[in-house]
Amino acid sequence: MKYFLIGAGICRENELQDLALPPAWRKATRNMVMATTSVQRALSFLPEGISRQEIALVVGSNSGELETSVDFLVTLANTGVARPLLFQNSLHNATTGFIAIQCGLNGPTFSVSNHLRTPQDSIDLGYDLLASGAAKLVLVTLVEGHRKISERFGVEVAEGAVTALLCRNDDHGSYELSMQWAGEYQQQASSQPLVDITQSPFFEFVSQWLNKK
Amino acid sequence: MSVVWLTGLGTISPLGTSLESLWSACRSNQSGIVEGLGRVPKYAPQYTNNRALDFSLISAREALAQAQWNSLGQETGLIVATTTGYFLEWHSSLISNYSGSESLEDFRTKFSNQPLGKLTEELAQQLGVGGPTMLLTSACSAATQAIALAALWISQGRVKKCLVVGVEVLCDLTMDGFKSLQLLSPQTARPFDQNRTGINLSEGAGALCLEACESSHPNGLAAVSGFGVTTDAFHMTGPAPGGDGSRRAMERALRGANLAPKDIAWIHAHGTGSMANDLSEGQAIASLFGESRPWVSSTKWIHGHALAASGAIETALVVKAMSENLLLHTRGLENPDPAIQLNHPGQDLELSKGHVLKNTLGFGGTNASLILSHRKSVAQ
Repeated sequence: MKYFLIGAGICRENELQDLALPPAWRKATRNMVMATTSVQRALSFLPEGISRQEIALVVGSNSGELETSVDFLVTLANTGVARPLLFQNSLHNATTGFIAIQCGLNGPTFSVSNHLRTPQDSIDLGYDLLASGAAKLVLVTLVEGHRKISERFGVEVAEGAVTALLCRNDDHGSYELSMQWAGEYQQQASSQPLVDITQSPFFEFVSQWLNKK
Repeated sequence: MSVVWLTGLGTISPLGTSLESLWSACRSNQSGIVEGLGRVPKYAPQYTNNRALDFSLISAREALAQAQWNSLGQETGLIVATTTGYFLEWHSSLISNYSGSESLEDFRTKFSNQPLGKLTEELAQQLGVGGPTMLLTSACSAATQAIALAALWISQGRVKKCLVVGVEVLCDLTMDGFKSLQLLSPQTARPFDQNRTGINLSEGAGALCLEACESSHPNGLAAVSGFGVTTDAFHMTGPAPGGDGSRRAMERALRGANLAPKDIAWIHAHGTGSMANDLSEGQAIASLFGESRPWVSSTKWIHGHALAASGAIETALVVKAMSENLLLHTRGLENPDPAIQLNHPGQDLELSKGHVLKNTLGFGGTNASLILSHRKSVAQ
């Protein structure tokens, strides 16, 4: 079985302040904004004639909605008030749900969080879905946002989101991929358990591919 | 063609530390819900004081013993489903650090448990799993997705055997969070009842052993014949009107199993007892199954809603029932909601052949459906 990259998108944390967000995104978390922006950029490569039901979405994250979870818990501890929007957005798969809504993706969606293996595991799941015929195309997105904790720790750990749009055949003039290109996150002792997404093979590969486009 | 068999089951739940205790309580109409919550009652940790890991190991070892898997090498995979993971190991420390009563160094030590995947790593290491691992965290559909993915791995030849563990622990985040969404009921949940008042959060773990066999398996309890995964893309916490996403998941599962709606004898629903879920899921079932009218039930009155673990615990209970040639009725259902047109069994009934559909619906609009085939009805 061969797999191909036909589109990709990246959103770096330092873009957030300059993004013009739609009104529907006004309560979105930083993870949601970065991830959805990267998905929309990848979808700009979408060939004609593919329905959104035929596209699967896999979202991988080591930290998940960590910042929102911290907000929810600290607010609860300080005020005794559990804020429903914070809770709803703190769920690990909240970003997946947000992307699906904003991009109209109602096929299979999965949320993966397997620590340092998250990048390759997310790609492997994408490959599995293509091989089984569960989807014609798969969007595989990685997202990491953790500024509140990294600042508390006094470390700098880059944040961002990256998406690869994959297919199973070469109908679309695509780039053939190897099986293990996404690699693992690297763990720095000084910043653990946070991971730098921009140092991952997944992010670097997609970045280089986009630079050549 | 190989069949993917379920050969081992294990659970820890508010009804006790084994599937047998859950089954016994179910059959004697005993609920494990106390004041609206399903806590695993006081027990002595068997392997570790880390609650999530201990739950996982207890249920996994029960399943492995039944499946008679003595070694788990490179041909065995592990898929974990959870939303809370090791949350209990770090969240108090976070609050203490933010309030100034705990040092940053101590907080950082405990916070190293935050990534969900730490659970998978530790579980794989303790059980000796040498094959691929995965952790899915798709809310209440996570474990059902995990079972589907395990079946996919086996049918694609990625592994020969796969252990699925769904685990969840009760914690402030989920209890206060669900309360803020006004979804909790102080009484025991009454799925599909016109007087239902909400859900009961619970905790626990379910473990399932899956393996392929060319034909009938001597230890085969039931087979995984198909699955469907879809997304509502409608709302972050509320289901789509009419249950469109759930309906499409069930359709996909039926197509994958080469079955028609009339081939389903029993649907074990997600059936949480919430107004919105039960109505939406009920409408989806009614619209798809129409005249077929399979029996439909939920068992959450017994064990509550264990979020990401619910698909694992409930599938284990369903397969146990199938192995006993039974289907289970909905405990707690006294006055079926007339707005939900389903066929509710009034008591446990015989089920000695046929196919069962298991549903889950989760936050984020995730829907997952499994087709489980009675061992006498497995296509070979």
